[in-house]
Amino acid sequence: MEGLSPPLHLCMEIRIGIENGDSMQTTIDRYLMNNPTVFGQFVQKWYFMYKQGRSTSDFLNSLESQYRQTLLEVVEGGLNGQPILKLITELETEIMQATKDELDADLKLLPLKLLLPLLLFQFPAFLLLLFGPLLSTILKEFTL
Amino acid sequence: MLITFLNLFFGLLSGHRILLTLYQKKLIQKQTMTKIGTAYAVLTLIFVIHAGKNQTFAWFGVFFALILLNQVQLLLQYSRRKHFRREFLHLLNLVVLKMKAGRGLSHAIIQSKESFDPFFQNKISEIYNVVCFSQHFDFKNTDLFLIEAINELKKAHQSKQNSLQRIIIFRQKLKIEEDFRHRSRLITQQTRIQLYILCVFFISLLIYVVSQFGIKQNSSLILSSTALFLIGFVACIFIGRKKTWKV
Repeated sequence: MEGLSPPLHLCMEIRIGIENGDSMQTTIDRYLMNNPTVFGQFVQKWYFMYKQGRSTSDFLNSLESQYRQTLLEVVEGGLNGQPILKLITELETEIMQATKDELDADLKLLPLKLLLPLLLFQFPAFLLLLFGPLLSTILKEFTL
Repeated sequence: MLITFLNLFFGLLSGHRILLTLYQKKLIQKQTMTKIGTAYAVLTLIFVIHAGKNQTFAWFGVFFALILLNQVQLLLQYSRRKHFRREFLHLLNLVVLKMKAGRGLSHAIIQSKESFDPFFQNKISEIYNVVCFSQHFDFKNTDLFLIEAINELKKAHQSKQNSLQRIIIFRQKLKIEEDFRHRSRLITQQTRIQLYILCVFFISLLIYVVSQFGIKQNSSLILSSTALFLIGFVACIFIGRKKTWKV
C-alpha cells in the first residue's frame, strides 16, 4: 500500500514542478512517466483529451472524488496559462488533510476487519487441531 | 531411498539458487551467504535424517527450509528498501548542510558518504557516478524511487544556480511521503504482527499434534485445519494490503 493518495501525489508533483521553474507540460509528462497507476492512466486520458482541444468537463465529472476533479480543473487552468501556484498549495493542504483523515478512519476500522477472518477461519482451525485428535481418540474408545 | 536423495538434492539446489540470487542482488555478503547456506543445509539434513522412512516428513522438512529461506529473501529486500529511503533522506540532510556551508553538490555528496555503512556507501558511489559523470546505469530493474532520486539529483547538478533550492524541495517532498508511509505502515504492521503470532502458535500446535497423535490417523483433520488457517491467513493479508483511496 502506498503512503500517498494519488491526488496528493499529483498535487505535490505539480507544486514542486512550478517551484522548480519547470513548465506544466514537462511536470505532467514526468508525472505520467513515473506513475503507471489507475489514476495515472486517468490523468493520461484527460491530458490526451486536453491536448486534442476537446472538452474535458464530462470526463472529469465521471470522477467520484471531488478532490481529484477539483485538482484536475485547477491543473487545466494552469495549462491554459493561469497562475496556479497559490491555488495548488492550498489544495495540497486540503488533500493532505483528507488523506490523513482517511488513513485514520482505516486505522480505527482495522481491528474489526481483522477479527472476521480470525473468528471465521483461524479460530475454528485451532479448535479443530486442538480437540479433533482428542475427540476422535475418545470416539474410537467408545466404539470399541 | 532414491526419492529421499532426489528430494534432498533438489531441495539443497533450490536453496543454493535462492542464496545466489540474494548475493547477486547484493542483499548479503559472501561470508553471510556461506553462513546461511551452511545453516540451511544442516537444518535440511537434520529434517531428512530425522524423518527416516517417513517420506511426508522428509518432504515437509525440505520445503519448510526452502520457504524459510525465501522469507529471508523477502525480508532482506524489504528491509533494504525501507532502509534505503530513510538513509537517502539522511544523505539529503547532510548534503543540504554541506551546501549551505558553501560546498558544491558533488563535493557535498562525497563528504556526506563517509557517515554511512559500507553497503549504503557503495550505493551512494553508484548514484554519485551517475549524477556527476553521467555513468551508465541500468534503470530496467531499478526501484522507481531510486530512478526519481537520481533524476532529481542530476537536475540539481545541472542547474548550478538553484541546485540547493531543488534539493530542499525534493527533501521536503520525501519527508511528507515518509510521514504518510509511516501512517499507512501502521495498518499493515498490525495485520502482520497478528499473522506472525498466529503462525507461530499454529505451527507449534501442528508439530505437537503430529508428534503426539501421528500424521496418518489424523490426516483429514490436519488438512482441513491447515486449509482453514491458510484461508484466514490470505484473508488477513488481503485486508492489510487492499487500499483503494476514496480521496
